[in-house]
Amino acid sequence: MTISIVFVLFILLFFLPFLPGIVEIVRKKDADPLYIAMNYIKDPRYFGKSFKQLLYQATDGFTSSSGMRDVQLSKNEKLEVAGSMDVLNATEVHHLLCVQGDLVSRANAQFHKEVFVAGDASVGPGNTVQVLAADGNVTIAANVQLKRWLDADGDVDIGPGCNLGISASSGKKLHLSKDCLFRRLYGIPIVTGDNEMIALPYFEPSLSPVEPVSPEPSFVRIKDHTIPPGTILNNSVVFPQDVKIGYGAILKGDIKSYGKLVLEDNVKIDGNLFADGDIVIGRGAQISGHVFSQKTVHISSRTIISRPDTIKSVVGKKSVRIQENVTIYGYVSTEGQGIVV
Amino acid sequence: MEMVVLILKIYLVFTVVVLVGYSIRHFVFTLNRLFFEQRIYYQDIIDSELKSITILIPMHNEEKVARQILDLLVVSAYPYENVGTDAKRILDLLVDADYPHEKLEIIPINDFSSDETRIILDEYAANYPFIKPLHRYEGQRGKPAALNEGMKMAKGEIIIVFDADYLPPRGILKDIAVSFNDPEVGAVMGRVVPVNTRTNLLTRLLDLERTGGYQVDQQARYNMKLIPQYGGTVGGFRKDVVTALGSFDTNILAEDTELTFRLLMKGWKVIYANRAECYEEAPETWNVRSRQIRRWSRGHNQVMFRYLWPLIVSSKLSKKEKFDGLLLLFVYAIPLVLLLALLDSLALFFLGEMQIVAGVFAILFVGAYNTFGNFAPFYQIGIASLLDGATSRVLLLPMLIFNYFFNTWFIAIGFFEAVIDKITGRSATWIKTKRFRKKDGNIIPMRKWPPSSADKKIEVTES
Repeated sequence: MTISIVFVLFILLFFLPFLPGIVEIVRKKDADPLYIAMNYIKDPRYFGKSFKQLLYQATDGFTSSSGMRDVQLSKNEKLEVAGSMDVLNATEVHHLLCVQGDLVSRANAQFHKEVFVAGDASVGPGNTVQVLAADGNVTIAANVQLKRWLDADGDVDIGPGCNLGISASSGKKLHLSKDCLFRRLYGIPIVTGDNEMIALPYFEPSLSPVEPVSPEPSFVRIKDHTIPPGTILNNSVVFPQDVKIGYGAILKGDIKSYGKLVLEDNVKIDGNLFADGDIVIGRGAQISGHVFSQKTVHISSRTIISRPDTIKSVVGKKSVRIQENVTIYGYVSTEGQGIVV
Repeated sequence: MEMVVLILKIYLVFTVVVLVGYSIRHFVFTLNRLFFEQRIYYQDIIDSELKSITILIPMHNEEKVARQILDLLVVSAYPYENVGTDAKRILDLLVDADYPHEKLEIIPINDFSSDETRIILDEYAANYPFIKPLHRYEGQRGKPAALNEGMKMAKGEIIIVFDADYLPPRGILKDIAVSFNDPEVGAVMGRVVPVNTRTNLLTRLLDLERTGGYQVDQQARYNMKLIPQYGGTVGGFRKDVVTALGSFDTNILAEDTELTFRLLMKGWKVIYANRAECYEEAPETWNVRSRQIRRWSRGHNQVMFRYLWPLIVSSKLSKKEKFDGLLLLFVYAIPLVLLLALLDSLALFFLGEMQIVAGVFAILFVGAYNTFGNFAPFYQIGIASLLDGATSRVLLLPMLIFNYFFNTWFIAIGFFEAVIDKITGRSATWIKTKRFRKKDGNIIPMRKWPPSSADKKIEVTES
């Protein structure tokens, strides 16, 4: 009897660790493959495009007559369709807006739901806007809070002290004033400060990138901490530590640093910048490629990144700090906080 | 006899030390993923000047899967439920494909197929000018030889390789290609996710292994600037560099691991792209799995014999890279060490000589011994599942004990085969992993794509 009990107990205890697994195999509660978004592509204007597509379907191609109606988006919503609209001071709008003409909002209005404008939009100071998508140009006054995102086909002009939420994108020029906070920007170009683009081109016809013709890497490793002012290098360079590129240096190739990468004023880089540490770009720099840091990117005034006919990216994992009078053709992204200083 | 017992005891202690080392390695990787700064990959870079790419897809009797991977690569904008059914719409939608067509070339390599693979590839080539099949019926068979011939044809700067059973999502080409803006990157590896998890216990356990191996192991090695491994599929490399290095060695079964170390020896880096996820079909029978793991072991150990000394004396690697490289090279030798240690401990037990250490050290010894092999990756797989948002699948963790003993045995056999390869200089024969998909069966819509809440999820991925 005792032996039987011990035997049964042994069997039970032996299988005990497997019991939850057996239950899971039978029930298949978590048996589906891990989800991969098969249709996902990186599109800096994804929000605007997908929202407009949803709204287009819900409003029969934006042809609905003016007035309120119910629409089915991700859930059932109230939608107001209007020709043109002038939203008065401190008005609160609690429903979706589809403005088929232009939209003007006065000071301190609050839009608690998404807004689509087929024409131009002018958002007054101190407004709070959940989402704004526009087919025309957008002007945003000072101290506007964008809760989620902004996208426009036309030019976007943003006043000082605005918070741009997750994303602000434009099919044309995106202009940001001082003290604007952001996480992602896209514009052709993105301009900060006085809104005057700097003359281009800034490189002579560039040499072809150095292609690897042997198994040896086409870049060189330099252990110096400083590249002297005025240096001209015609190769990609990897620095295993912090490095400072001196005033007026010209480098034709990619630069990578395993530490901090500092560009003094008027440096020209015909290539990409990569760094594990901060990237600090001095005034008047000209960079034709991407700027990518695992920490913070600081961009000083009169800097130009990328060219009018290309789209490049500035990525600073922790932060991107851009001074006034900077021009970037393409995309800016940070997981932390971006700011125009 | 005393000398024999002493040797047995020393071997056991040696094993415990090795196992503790590997356990610490797994533990450090896990902690790194949980609590430390994560290095971001380059997927946030948007670039209008993408490099030209050639996709190579080695295929040996792949009629069951050939259409799906080609459809997915060609028609990246196309809704999956209609793939392969509407040729006109396919051509229309090519305009929206997520890689510039003038910079995209697809070379499916028909490697001695005797089924309908050839016909399928020719059919696609007739419809799409950028699909240029390569039919091989002469020379050496096998993936490395096929890739070498494919590279001779390829016009792209970057080679991206997929196995034929893979299901690439729409954005993966850009995600992989963009990393080559970094001047040091010689190769990049994406993440492999089994698609047929619901099939049986084996596929579910393999899913757990993959989760731990990629979500924690590879990403932690990327975070810590160690040695992420190029895995031969869902990854890419610079064509000119690999060509100049002599292309793939056709006598090495793990051509991917071999490439990883060859690039490292020359000063290039291999990086990991956790974001570049792609479905694969995991083996569905233990027999097929045994052949796969045996081949991996044989190939990996061939690489270990070749690169052990060059790695130690390399001037291109940091000390921590060398250390990680050594642990990586020995990964497929350790199961044999464990197997021998098990026999060793049995011998010592029956000889009445198991009292190797005393006091509190005895507890540590037992603890360390029990931490080996199967148990070491437990926390790695558990945390990986947590990071993936998986829920009930972690309940299967204890069942990995079956995989552990299974793998130990076949990896040990693979090790011996590699030893014989080394001694005799014989060349290895490539054995393809059997596919289980029904012919032209579309396995992606096994659930609704995207699932009901997926619109939200896509938005989250965007943000």
